[in-house]
Order: sequence, then structure tokens, then C-alpha cells
Amino acid sequence: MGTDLHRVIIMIHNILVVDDNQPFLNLITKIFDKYKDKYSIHTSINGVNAIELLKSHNYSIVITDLQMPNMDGYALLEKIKKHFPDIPVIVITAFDKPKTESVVKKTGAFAYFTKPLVVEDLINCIDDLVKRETEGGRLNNASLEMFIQLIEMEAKTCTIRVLDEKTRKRGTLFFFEGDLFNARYNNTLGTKAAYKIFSWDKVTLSIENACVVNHREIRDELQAILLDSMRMKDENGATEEEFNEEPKSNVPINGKISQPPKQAAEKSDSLMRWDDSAVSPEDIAKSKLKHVINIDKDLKSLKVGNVWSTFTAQATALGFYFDAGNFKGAYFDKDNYENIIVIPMEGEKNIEIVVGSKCSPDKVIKSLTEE
Amino acid sequence: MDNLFEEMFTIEGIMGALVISDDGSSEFTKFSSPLSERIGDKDFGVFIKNSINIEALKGAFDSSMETLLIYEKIRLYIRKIKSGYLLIAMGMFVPVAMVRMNCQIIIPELDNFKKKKGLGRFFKNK
Repeated sequence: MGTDLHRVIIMIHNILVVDDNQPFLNLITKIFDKYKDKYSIHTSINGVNAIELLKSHNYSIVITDLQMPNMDGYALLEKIKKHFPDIPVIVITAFDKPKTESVVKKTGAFAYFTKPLVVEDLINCIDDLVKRETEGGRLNNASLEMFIQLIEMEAKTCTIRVLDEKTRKRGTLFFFEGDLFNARYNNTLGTKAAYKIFSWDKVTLSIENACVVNHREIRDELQAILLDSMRMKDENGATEEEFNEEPKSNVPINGKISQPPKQAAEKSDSLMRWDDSAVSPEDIAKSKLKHVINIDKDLKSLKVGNVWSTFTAQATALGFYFDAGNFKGAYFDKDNYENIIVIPMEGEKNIEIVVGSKCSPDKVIKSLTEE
Repeated sequence: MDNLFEEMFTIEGIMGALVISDDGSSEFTKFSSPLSERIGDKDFGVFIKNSINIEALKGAFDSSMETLLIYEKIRLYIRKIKSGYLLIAMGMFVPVAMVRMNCQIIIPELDNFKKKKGLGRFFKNK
């Protein structure tokens, strides 16, 4: 039943109707009541308000009048084309002039109707637009990352509308010949929007077989963006409260420090402890790490030694300047495949872990520095 | 140089930016509160000179594309630039990817900016 309900939600498209004529808005809302299983009508009395609604809601189509106070239909159309390029606009006007249709179509309107309106024509037009959104297919419960890599490999040109199944938020990705040209999340465009969309785990995808933007906003490599967004997802995985706990001991900034005070390091609760027990520190570390990374796949090596002792002493000292609290560890991005995490232990020992690039350093360090 | 970091400081949780030269002297510092209150009027260059064996840190920073130092209260994100290092001080939940992206924009401009300080700004190649 949950799945049926889920599908029903996806099938309903939000349409924003913008007109300064309230009786017209009331009428069109009433007309569309017949189609409430497909369309949900939202209204706005002017262009300014419409832009605010577009920033915070997901609309499939905008229908707008031309003559309106504050922001007229032309200005609204231009703003939509610039900031919400994937949302098609239908223009309806009572003041039809010879050149109006060509002007609004050049500006980017999908269709043009004059009042009095033949409702069936408008409904057919909306049906066509909605069909185009999914002409390339629709995928439920998809892994966005895998699908996007397919698009790149096949050098597809398409517009992909993405629905995050967890939050019900929507975003759009624009591909031209396999390159990610642009992305939109609410009124955010470009790489920032792509990061947001790629951070979603399970999504529903609607594929339109055309790229509705022709200006390339995103210059970064798709793989790099995907990799970064996966890291971002990992790094944001832990809850904020877990990290916001007040540190138990602070080391004050107190003038010249050639070496960090040993007592401070020895008292630190954040340093990894190891004793003379039968279990080796490597095994203790591995047993802690298995909760946060895939040991077989992502752990390349793990060594305990004092190779990093000078570095950790200096990194600890550097933290004094910022009143940063105890030094918990360092992460070195060596290349796109392997990275090094160094964690200070009691005494002058350190633990050096070489991991795959997808591991979150925060999680690894946290798992090893907690009791 | 302040303008270069405008976008970076719009990211929630960014606490400071420092540009330091190869010898550790400070070329630019900008801190937002509460970090600025915690640091007070302590000079980073003087601190480094008196307290830090910069070579020990540089060896590690130079061998990686980026370094993240994680402390109890903050994190330091460090990138090598042409004639020194860029340090970004940030809270525990700032997405590193966002900082990395901003640095990718800032670093070329920073290198360019530093170049302009020399006589090169008066001349151009044929």
C-alpha cells in the first residue's frame, strides 16, 4: 500500500498559475479540480510572489498572464528561464498583439494562448509537457550515482528530474552529450546544486530526451563532483550533537612552545590508548574501524610506529594558536585512490592508516579516538 | 585579498582563513567570531616563528594534495599554494567538498594576486 501511495504522490504535478485577476485564478482552480489526480494547482497574484513560490516549491509548469503589476509576465518569463530553466512556461493573455506570440516564444515560453481560453487545448498542452518529462523513462528507487555514470558513458543528452525519496525534495540535472552542463536545486544552479542532488541516496528519476539549457555552468569533471559529494555525504553522516560535545580538557595558549606539553598529551582523552594486553594495537584499531569502513575493501594498510611523531607534535602545537583543543588526527589526500590518516596515540606513537578515497576521515578518526 | 575570501566566509562554520608564506610568516589573516575572540591579538607569524618547527609540517603538507587537521573544537584545511600555504579554519560540520571547491577558485587568483605584487604588474611579455 505504501508503494501505491508513493506512486500516486509522484504522479501529481504541481502547476503554478500567475495572474492578477483573482476571478480567473478561482475559475482555473475550479476547472482543474477535475484533474486533481494528475495536477495540483497553486496560484499567485503577481510575478514577485511567483518567484518566491518557485524558490520554495517544486513546480512542473508555470502558467502566466502577461499584463500584471510589479513584475509582468515578460519579466517573470525571463527570470524563470534564467533561474529555473527546466520549468516550462505557458503564456496566457487577453491582450493579443501581432508580435506578442513570437516575442514570448523567443524569450522561452513553451506555448501561447489567448483569452478567452479553450480549456481542452490548455489541458492537452499540459499533458504533452508532462509526458515530455518522462519520455526517456522513469526509474523508481534508483541509485543516482550509477545511473549518472551510464549517462556519461553513453554520452546522452537529456534533462533528468530527480526526486529524493527520503525528503521528497526535487532537483534537476542537465546533460549534454554526457557532460553535466548544469544542475538546479530550488533556485540554486551549478555545482552547488549538483552536490546537493548527488548527496541523495535513493531517488526517482524522470528522463527527458533533451537538454533545455545551452549554457555550460558546470566545468568540473563529473567524476570529481560525484566523488566529492560522496565524501560530503560521509562527512555529514554523523550527527551534529556527537561532535559538539565540549572537550574535556583545553590547552591554553601560553607563549613559546618548542614542543607541545607532554602532560597535556598524556591527559588527553582523545588519544588512542594501548596497553600491554595480549591484543595488539593494530587489532584494536581494526576492530574499531570495522564499524565505520569496509575493512576488506577500503583498508589498505595499518601501522603503529613513531614515523609521524614530529609531525603530530607540531600539529598539536599549531592547534594551540587556534585554541583548537586536543589534536585528534590528520588526513592527507594523496591522490584519488588512497589517502593517509594519522592518529596520535599515547606516548610518541602514532597509528598510520592508508584507506580508500571514499572513507570519511572524520568517522575514522572519531572511531579510533573514542573509548 | 579580503575580497577573494568573501564567498568562502558565506559557508556556515568557516572561522578563519590564513595565507602563510613558505617560511611561515603570515601574509593574510581573517577570522570570524568566536575564533577571533579566542585568538585575540596573537600574531600568527610570531607564533609560528617561536613555537613551531614549520619544516616538520611542510614536509607532510607538501606531499599531499590537501591536508585536514582535526582537533577537538575545529578543523584546519590546508592547501599548498605557489609560494606558501592556505589554511582554512572551520567547524566540525563544514562540508570539506564545499571548502575544496572554493579553494579551487581562490588559489589561482591568490597566486595571480601575489604575482602582481612584483614588478610584473608594470610590464607584460611580448
